[in-house]
This record gives sequence, C-alpha cells and structure tokens, in this order.
Amino acid sequence: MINEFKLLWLSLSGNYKFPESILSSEMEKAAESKLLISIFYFLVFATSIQTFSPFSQFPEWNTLLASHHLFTPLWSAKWLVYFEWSFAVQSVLLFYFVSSLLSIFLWQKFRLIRICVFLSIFFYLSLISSFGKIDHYLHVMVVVTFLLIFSPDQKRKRASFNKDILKVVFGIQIFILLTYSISGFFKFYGILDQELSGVPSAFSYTSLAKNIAKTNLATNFSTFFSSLILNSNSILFPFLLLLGYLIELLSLFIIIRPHLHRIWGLLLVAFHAFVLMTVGPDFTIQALVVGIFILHSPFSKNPLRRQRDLRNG
Amino acid sequence: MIHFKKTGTRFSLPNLGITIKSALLTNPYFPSTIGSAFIFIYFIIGLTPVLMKSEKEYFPFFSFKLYSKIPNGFIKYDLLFNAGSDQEHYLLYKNVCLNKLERKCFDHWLAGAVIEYNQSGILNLKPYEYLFDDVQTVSLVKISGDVMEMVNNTKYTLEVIEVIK
Repeated sequence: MINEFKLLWLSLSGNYKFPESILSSEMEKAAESKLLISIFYFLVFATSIQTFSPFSQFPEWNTLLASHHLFTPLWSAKWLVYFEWSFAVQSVLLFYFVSSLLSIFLWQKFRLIRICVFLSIFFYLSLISSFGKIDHYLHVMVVVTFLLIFSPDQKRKRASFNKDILKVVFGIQIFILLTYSISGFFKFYGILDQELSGVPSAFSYTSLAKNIAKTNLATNFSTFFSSLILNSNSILFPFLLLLGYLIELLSLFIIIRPHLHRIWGLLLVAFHAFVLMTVGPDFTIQALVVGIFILHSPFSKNPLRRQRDLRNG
Repeated sequence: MIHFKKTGTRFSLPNLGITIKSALLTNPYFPSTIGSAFIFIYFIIGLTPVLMKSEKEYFPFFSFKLYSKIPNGFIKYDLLFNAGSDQEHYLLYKNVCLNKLERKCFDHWLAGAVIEYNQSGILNLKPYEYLFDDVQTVSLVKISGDVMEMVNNTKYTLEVIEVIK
C-alpha cells in the first residue's frame, strides 16, 4: 500500500510511459475481466432482488403499484400507459429479475441476454424516475450494462476475443472515471464562481455542514455524522470535502495510470462511504460498480499475480 | 515491485496533455470506434443542459454535476395546511408520512407550479386537489433563510404567496 501511495505521488509529478508489464499476459487479464463481468452481472441480479424488498434504496413495489396517480412518464416509460398499471409495473420488475438471473450464467454466450439486461434495468430506472425527479444512483450501472452489450460472444471464438473483452472493460473504466472527473470539475468551478462572487465556498469552515443541512432539509433525514459536523467548526471538514473534490477531479488522470487503479478504486469507494455518512446521497450501487471495475481492475498489478511473479523470479 | 519509468521531466499542464494523449494512443485496449463514440456522445448530450444553463435533463444522459456549489441560503415552496391551528403542517417540510415517490413528485410539481405562477400569474394546483379535502385551510408559502439556521435552530422566513382554501 505504501508503494502504491509512492507511485501515486511519483506519477502525479513525473512523465509517463505505458509499462510493458501491463501489456503482458493478455490472456490472464481477459480471464480476470470475464470474472469481473460475471461478478458485475451478479450485482445487477442482487439489485433486481432489492426491488422486491421493503427495506432497500428503491421505492417499494407496493408503493409503485399504489402510485399510478403520481406517474408522469419520461419518454422511455411512456409505453407503460398502454397497459394496465399493476401489470406494467410487475412486468418491468419481473423482466429485470429474470434477465439479470439469466445473465449470471449466460452473459458470455448470448448478446441477446446482455441486451435484455440493459433494457430491463433501463426500463426500471425509467419507471422509478417517472415521478418528478430523476434518480441518478443507477445511471452508471445502466451505461455499463449498455457497454457490455459490445463484449464479444465466447461461442464465436474469435482470435481477438481477449483483446476485445479488455477493450470493453477499458471503455467501462474510461466512462466511470470520466463521470467522477466531470463531477469534480464542476465542484472546482463552483468554488471559483463562489469565490469570485464573494460568497462562502467550499473553503469556508461550514461548507460541509451546509451541504449536510441542504440534504437534511430536502429529505428530513439525519446522517451518521450530521449532528457532529453541524455542531462543530473544524478545519478538518472543509479539508475532507476538498480532498473528496480532488479525488474526483483527478480520476481522469488515473485512466492512463493502470497501476494506480487499485488505490484509486479504494479512494473512490471510501469517498462514497464518506458521502453517505456525512452529506447523505446513497451511491452504494455505484460504489460497488467502482469496486468491481476500478478497485479490482485487470490492468492493475494484481497482488496475487505479483506474488507469483516474485516466486518465479 | 514498481513498474514505473520516471524520465525526470517536470510536471506541467502541456506535458500532462501529451502524456494523456500518448498513453491513450499507445494503449492496445483503447475502446473501439463505437465504444469511444458512445462515451463521447454520452457526455456531449449529458453536458448540453449545463452549457445551456437549463435545468432540463435528457434521460438517461447526465452531466454528473452534483453538489457543485455550497448552499448559503435556500428558498423552498411548500403548502401550509391548517395555518394557525393545532393541526398546522406542511406538505413537504418535516412531513415524515410521505413515501419516496410522493416526496419526489410533490417537490417537482410544486416547483413547476411556482415557476408557472411567477410567469403567468395563474396557480395550477390541480394535481394536489385531492390533498385539500380533509384540511380547513391551504396556503402556498415560500420558506427562505440560511440552511444552517434552519436545520440547527429552525429559524426561517415564511411568506404566504397565496391562500388557496
């Protein structure tokens, strides 16, 4: 871990060449990628189960059934109005469940299954976002399921299979890390804008507390650390907030630093945990996707592979 | 085992650009044309509303602009029921009886109704009318103040915009 921090510091201050070791053992990386994608599809299945639970982040299924009068469909959910409401809602939930269940075993064999998984999660997100405000905690998962449609089918046994699957995984990593960089960019732009306007920005002592207060006001919900942060002024809080902004912003840079994927994945997952414990927005599903594709990136130096390399000299 | 080749070149912004470009181009796993085009188009469409300073969002495209500014003050619109009586309560503020969908929906509808009211002077609260059956009075109110004062001390400014019932 210390080595990885050392690498982080060196790579941010020096020039870079793509390490040759990263390009070796393509087959091994492709095998790791397949395992990661299998875990990802299992995660999609796990989220589909959550849609039936009364204790999950998703709206309860029976609340959905009872909320026909509140339904203001997005373009992608307009087709639902042509069916009887409870039939339409149950169909969307079951389609999500069945397609994600099948994908656990069949994602490598049939592109059609991957298309169905994408459509099912897309329709589910369309459904739950058709009640005024659009939810954003599933966007990354939806886009990843879309990108995975382009992963090669195993049954065709093309010579470029390994390279093709690695290209898809690298594309997913680019997308995920770009979302964080753009988010970080807007936060730093916000600081500049507020500083130039002469109003308190993220540099102020109360910046984190104000973000917490905003969420508290909107949701009537207190977070784990909300009372502690709301009632104390410490330089630590804006520092942590700015550190979070910086982690987000620099994610773009990490795309081309495969050896830093693991440490950056860990930082991003920790960032989501920190946000959940303080400000409140729950991006746990996104954190799990980051955990799969960045924290366990096939392009990073896998500790198990490293141990084996050391053993083999 | 560190696989890092440090050339000794100092960090600079133009250098960073060249580094990113060369590292991506030399990467054999750079996504195919379709993949790259999709990612590019996703962010172009996602960022368009931000560049046009619009609140609109082209689902499922999103800019990921979240919590970009520190909230110093706040303005919220709400419906106040049974004002001045023991049963005084708001539709949104401190209403723990709402489910997730109701909260999202009422918040969105109310914001839209107020924008329309400010533009045309007509207050259209038809979607809410079924909520007015069991209450004596209904007022559209504006709640404003400092977020910290509001959460810590429940201090806010209340302004009645229109008495509906």
